[in-house]
Amino acid sequence: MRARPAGYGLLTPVLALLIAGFLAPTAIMALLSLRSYSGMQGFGDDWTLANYIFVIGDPYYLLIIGRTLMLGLIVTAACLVLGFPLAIYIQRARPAVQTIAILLVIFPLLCNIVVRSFGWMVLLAPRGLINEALMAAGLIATPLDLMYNLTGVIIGLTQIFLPFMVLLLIPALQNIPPDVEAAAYTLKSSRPRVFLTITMPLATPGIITGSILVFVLSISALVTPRMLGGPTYKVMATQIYDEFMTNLDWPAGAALAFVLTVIALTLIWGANRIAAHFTKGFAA
Amino acid sequence: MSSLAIRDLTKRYDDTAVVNTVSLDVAEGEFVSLLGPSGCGKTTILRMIAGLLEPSSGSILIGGEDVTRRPANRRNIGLVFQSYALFPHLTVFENVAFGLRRQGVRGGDLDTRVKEALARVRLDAHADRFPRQLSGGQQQRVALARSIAPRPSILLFDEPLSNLDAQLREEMQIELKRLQAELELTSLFVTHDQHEAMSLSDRICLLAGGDIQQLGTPEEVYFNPANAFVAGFIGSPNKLDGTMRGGQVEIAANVLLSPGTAEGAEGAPVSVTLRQEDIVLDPDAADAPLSGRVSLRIFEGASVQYLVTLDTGLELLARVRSQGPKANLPEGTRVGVSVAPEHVYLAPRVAA
Amino acid sequence: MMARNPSWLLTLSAMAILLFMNAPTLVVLIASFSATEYLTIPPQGWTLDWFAEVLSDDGYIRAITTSLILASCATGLSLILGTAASYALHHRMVRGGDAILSLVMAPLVFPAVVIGVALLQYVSLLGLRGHFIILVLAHVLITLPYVVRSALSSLTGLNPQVEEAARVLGADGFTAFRLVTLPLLKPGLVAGGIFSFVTSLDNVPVTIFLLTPRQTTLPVKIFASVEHGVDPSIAAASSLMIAGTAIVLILAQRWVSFSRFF
Repeated sequence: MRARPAGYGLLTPVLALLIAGFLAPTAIMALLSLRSYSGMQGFGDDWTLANYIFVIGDPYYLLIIGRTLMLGLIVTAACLVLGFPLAIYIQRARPAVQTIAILLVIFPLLCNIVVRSFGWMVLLAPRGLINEALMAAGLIATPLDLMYNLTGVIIGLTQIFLPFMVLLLIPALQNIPPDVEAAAYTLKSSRPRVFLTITMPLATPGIITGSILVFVLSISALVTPRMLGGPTYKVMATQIYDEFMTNLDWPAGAALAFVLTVIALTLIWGANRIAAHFTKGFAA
Repeated sequence: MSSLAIRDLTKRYDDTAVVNTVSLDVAEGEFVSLLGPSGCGKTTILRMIAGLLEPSSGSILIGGEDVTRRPANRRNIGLVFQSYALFPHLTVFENVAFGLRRQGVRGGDLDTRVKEALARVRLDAHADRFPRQLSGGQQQRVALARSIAPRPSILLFDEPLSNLDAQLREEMQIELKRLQAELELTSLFVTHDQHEAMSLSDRICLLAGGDIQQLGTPEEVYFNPANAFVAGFIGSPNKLDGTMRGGQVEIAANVLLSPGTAEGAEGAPVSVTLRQEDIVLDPDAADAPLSGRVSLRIFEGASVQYLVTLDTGLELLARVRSQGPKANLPEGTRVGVSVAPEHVYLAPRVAA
Repeated sequence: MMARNPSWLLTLSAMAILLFMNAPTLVVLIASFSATEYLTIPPQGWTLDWFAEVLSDDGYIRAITTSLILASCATGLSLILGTAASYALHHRMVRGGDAILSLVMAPLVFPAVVIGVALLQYVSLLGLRGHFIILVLAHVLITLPYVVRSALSSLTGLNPQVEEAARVLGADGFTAFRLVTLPLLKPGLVAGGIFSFVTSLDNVPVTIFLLTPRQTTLPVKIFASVEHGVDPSIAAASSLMIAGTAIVLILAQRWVSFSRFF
């Protein structure tokens, strides 16, 4: 144990930054979300839940919240469906192939989200690559609506968060003792049966962690929904952006931001509890 | 080289004393071992002397100067760690040069002194290697060279040999002893290994529960253990339960031994410690008051060990020199058993 | 496991999924070299004109410069503050270390857009909007978790006696740290620093709320340009970012294995 003053000296800058630059802004936003507001007079000095009631009671906001959660669910499901085969493939592949495959998973992860969303715009636009190719092949007569709607946002977000899912599933699969699967095969279980009754349950902690992560990132995403959903197809994050930057209705934006935060933090807290529960179960 | 003195040194954690008012003097050039089981406080004492741990009370003097409140880097101490603690990113040369550079030694002088220290541990050919390229024994020698190169006033060892295998450990013991004698290093050596302590030390300080049990030469500690703990810790003795009967101790119905000193009143329960080497077997005195039968003979090289079953059913281990007259008692031989009173060590016991 | 080779169906699916994951970057790269305004496969001719256009555009140059300066400042500061904090946390030098660590990690779990708008409101109230230092500090906030996580895991792998050895050999606390601990932490700090740099360089959801109309970073500029339609010079700017990422990745591999990143 060393002298305490030194410890505080080392931590003070970080603590100051976190308190002044993170806790204080969040607290102030929480307070302002409880103030009445009008475009004319600015913030009132009374306490009110009006902003929250407005956000939760308004059909338009409810539509956006519901749409955001649905989007999160679909993207999570899509990442699981695509992530599992790829993770299993990587786990079984030869080491050389494994390295290349993992590189191909990590590279998009490190690439800028704006750049990747832009890439999808080039692909999905009405005169984009995919529509041009389909029309050239004579499969469709008029361009499909692949962008500025739910489809575009789902495709974009799935591609953007799939690497996280794959990278969390690979270790989850590796943690399954090989003997367990082998034992199941010797007991004459079929492949799908082994996958459903052995592989899936044992990989559950990884699946839960990956799913929660993808879900939370999807409902919080701003850039991709904005670029592939366009200015009219809105989710929570883009609506918050507009409240602050276009409508200048900060209290409503703050209330919506807190609804988003509560959903995200509750899910992460819950996931940690579930993960802890599973870890205990395996240790016992 | 300087002398080392610690006065009433105490370390408490939440009211539990791990080291309890320990005082100890190490003369210039003397080699003292802190010996004891794990948790006896020996490493805590060493770390306090090195300045890596602050004492709760008491003082530490090096060369007569009080260094209790001085930071580790200004105590001029050499410390050899159990884990070697070599700097993995520096070459052997730079490892040894580290302390010298801190003293401001530069240029040719630095070169000479590093080479000299490395030569002392016969590693001068390995100066450019990195620690991971060396064997365990070589790494330990680098650690030794690193600690002696700055010419510390005292040298501390924290179980430095316990990570080595048996044969290497013995070689290193000899090397260490030779080096210590050549350089007349004032040394304090922490170990839980009694043989290591015996073979290296001028004096042994035996610790248990944060207290000094005995401080003396290896001979004194071996031949005149101050108490039953010391007697029990040195060697691997027989431990029996007994009861005081008329100044003697009864270890089984009607089997009495005369102790060196009585312990407790008539009828008091005592624990009896008998060293294997102190048990005298006599095949010509098979009808002695204490007698039994050799039930196992184990040849150990330099010694022979016997398991003797007394007529009362009690079993004792005895050890004799393998070239002595009693080295070849076949199993089944009836023998008389005796122990000189001064070798019967008693301690109070809580009756079961 | 019994050596089971992936079946052809699995291999094919994996290939398709990997293609899906890398399609947008691939398309951007091709588009940036394509001679036509609208991309076709195969492209009808190649050109470097789009790159010339981007690199001769003051707006882009300023955005690239701002991005690089911002990422460098944020990463440098993050490394210094994060390493100091990790050292104190690792050695349990203060009470409540776990709570402090959770606080450091919090910006990682908070929706980025929420941090962005909270900071916007805060700096507006304080009248500090538009100061570059605010942007740097906001980026330190979001990159700190990566540096701290990396530094803490490196510290855990360190033999504590090595630093003690340095101190006994005459090095004061800071010298021991500088000569022994820091060099041994270097691989972990490089990994954390690279991740921090990339994170800062990429960030839009926090940055966009803190810029003034005169300032912009490269990703924010691309993000804003897209509102006016897809244009090959955007592809070229994007390709520059991809190339930057690739270079960082290659440099990173010389220092540390990929496993360190996750």
